Amino acid sequence: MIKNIWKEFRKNRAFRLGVILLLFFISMAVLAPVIAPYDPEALLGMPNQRPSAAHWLGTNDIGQDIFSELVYGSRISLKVGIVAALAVTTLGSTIGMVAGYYKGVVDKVFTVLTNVAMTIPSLPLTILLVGFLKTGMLGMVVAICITAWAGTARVVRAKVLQIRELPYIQIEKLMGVSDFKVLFKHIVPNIADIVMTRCALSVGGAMMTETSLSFLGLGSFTQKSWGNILHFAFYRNGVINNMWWWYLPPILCISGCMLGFVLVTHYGRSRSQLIKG
Amino acid sequence: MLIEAKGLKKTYKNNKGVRIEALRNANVAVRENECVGLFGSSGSGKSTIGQIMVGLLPPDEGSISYRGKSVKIPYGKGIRREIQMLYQHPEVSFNPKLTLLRSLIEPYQLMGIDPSRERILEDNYRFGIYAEHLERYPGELSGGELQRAALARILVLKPRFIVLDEPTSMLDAISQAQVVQILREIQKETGVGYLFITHNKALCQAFSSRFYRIREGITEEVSSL
Amino acid sequence: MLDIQNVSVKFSSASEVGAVEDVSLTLQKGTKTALIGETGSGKSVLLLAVMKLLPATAEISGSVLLEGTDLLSLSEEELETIRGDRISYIPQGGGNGLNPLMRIGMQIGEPLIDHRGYSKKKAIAQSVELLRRFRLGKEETWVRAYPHMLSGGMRQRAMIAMGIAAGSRVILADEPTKGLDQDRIQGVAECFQYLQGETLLCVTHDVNFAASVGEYISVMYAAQQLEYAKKEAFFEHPLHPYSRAILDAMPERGLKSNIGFAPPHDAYSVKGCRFSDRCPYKNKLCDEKKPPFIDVKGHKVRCWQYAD
Repeated sequence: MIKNIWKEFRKNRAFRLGVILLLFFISMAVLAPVIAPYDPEALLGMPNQRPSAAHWLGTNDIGQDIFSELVYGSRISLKVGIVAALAVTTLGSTIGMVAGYYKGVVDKVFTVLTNVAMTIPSLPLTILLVGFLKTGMLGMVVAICITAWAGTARVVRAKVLQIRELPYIQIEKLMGVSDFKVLFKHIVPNIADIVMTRCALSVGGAMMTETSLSFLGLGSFTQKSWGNILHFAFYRNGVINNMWWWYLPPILCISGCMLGFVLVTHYGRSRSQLIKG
Repeated sequence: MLIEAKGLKKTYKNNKGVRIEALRNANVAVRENECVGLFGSSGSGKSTIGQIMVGLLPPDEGSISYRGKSVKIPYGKGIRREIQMLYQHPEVSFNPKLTLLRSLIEPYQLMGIDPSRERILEDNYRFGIYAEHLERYPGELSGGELQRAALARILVLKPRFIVLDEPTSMLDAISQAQVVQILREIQKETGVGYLFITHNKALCQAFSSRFYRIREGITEEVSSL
Repeated sequence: MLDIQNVSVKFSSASEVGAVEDVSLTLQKGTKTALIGETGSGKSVLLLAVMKLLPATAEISGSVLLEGTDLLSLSEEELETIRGDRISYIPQGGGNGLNPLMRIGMQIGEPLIDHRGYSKKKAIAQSVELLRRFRLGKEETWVRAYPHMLSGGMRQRAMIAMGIAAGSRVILADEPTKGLDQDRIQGVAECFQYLQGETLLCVTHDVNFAASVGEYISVMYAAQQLEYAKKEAFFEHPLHPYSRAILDAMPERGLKSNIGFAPPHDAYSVKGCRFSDRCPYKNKLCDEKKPPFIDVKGHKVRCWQYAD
């Protein structure tokens, strides 16, 4: 496994760039206290400073160090993204798997549900849900989960529908192996790669939603995320006064991070695997 | 009679919603210790008969009796293991994510037999599956090796009836002859009955003792092809 | 016409057994050669090597002369003008090589537009003519159909038509009958028989198909060519023990299984004859030394039995 990843890392340029980007942002989140020069909450005197040796990205309107905010912000953004993506993927895959494996009435019900979920515009619904649920990370994760599972469910269902007709699954049924074992021993490993791909893409999607919500002021105000920084940059005249060191870095971070998650899904798509035997 | 299917009818809807009559009137009977050929071109409905008799697909009409008793699909616990199938595509007859050993162990666990490596090697020797094959993944084995292992795997369940759905059509001539040879030996030893589905006339005549021909969903017993 | 000389292919320099080892085949103009072998014998890799379609990691040696030009020494740009124009490759997979979103007529006509500068209309009219050569009937309906509307056998025949569309004189076909039933195999065989003047190299594991299509038969086993002969000579007096085992195993000839199981692909004996561990006639020499490709009055065989 590790050997394969290393091989892929060496040969596949897209995957390599993705891994490097993600390692960069993850180490930023993990090592935040080491990297950040100041406490992001601390009021350091002079507000609205330009970038300088003391404050690499200047300070905001109440005198907090923007670079420190940015470094700590990666924690919230990544955490929400990853937790929401795991929840979305678990929910979506389970529904897709059950629908695809059992077919019939179960499938029809889930397909209708999926189609309904896919037609509802997700951002307005998420906003609505966040409004009703408690603010904070949990509310946000639940809201993202409710609106974002359908895509994964659909992809997984299609794949399971295809796999269940293959002889190796039919043989299991003929031998009298239980559905539970067939699902977890024989179907799960064979859909693992698409589930992982969906999961990585969901992280990007969830981070985007989190950013949008925080930007709109629906995130949690107590915790600083990249969207939260953008929110203040926008509403407290950072954008109008063209203080690029305030609004540009969080945008670059979000874009870079999302790009990283998209690129790692290129795992296994290098050209060298075309020919066999 | 070991297994007998009478008056089978099956209609599918294809993905455009058009009804396709796969089987209109199919009658097939197989005795113990007998290999019955079912000969037809693709689209004739021969695989549908196999799917029904093995218990994966309920027919719209018609009945199946197994050892004198009428049976319903899906088959109950008692006879589920006694009726097995060998598929046309050996390369997808094994879970691609498991080593051959891990797949071969399964039927032993189901039968409550201790699946020791020694036991598996001993049982698989005659199928030409040796220690050097066990740790490989299906993608690293040839069609002939996989088909022989697939046969070895279902034989652990001690089946009385096996549907052979063109099991040699993807194999080279020598592997085909080897698989047929093993099937014959097994039949001699255990008295298992085969329904051999094929589109290969010469092979059907060489391997089967009685023949059905199927055309457009209707079977007919014939003395020669 | 096409002269394959001492072609070898290795996927990693570490392994001692290559995917193709020292294969030489000369295809005279207008002749049809069938290359028989089991999966993994290297026959498909050989075709890909001839077309230079293998991934960059493959090490290819030897030469492939197409009317005197060595294909292996050409650049990718030069090859692109030759592929489809002077030499065509029909990949395996029952016509899955067709573009599902394009009508059959357009696909067959595409090489004509690319290499001959035909207009779209003229190319489609020409593709009707091409299909007529195969005597399928209703050719005008065919060219308007999309691939999913055709059966596997029909798709395979469309692929062959595509291969010869731009007037390619050399056709390489990889397992054109895989997965088809006997009536359709017959249809594909007829298709190849209607080819007049084209040079054909067809890889197959179906001995009957090889017999109905090939004028020359070549047998590959474990990366090596074991026998090469005219069809009649091969089927009447096969020389190599492996060839004899293949013929004995045919249902028409008694369905006999009289040699052992094949070892895993990477476990062949390297030192001596590749076939020695399954051979009923082997002697000490077979285990120790590689047999040469011996010419017995135009019938070539790689076996120590025929050495002087």
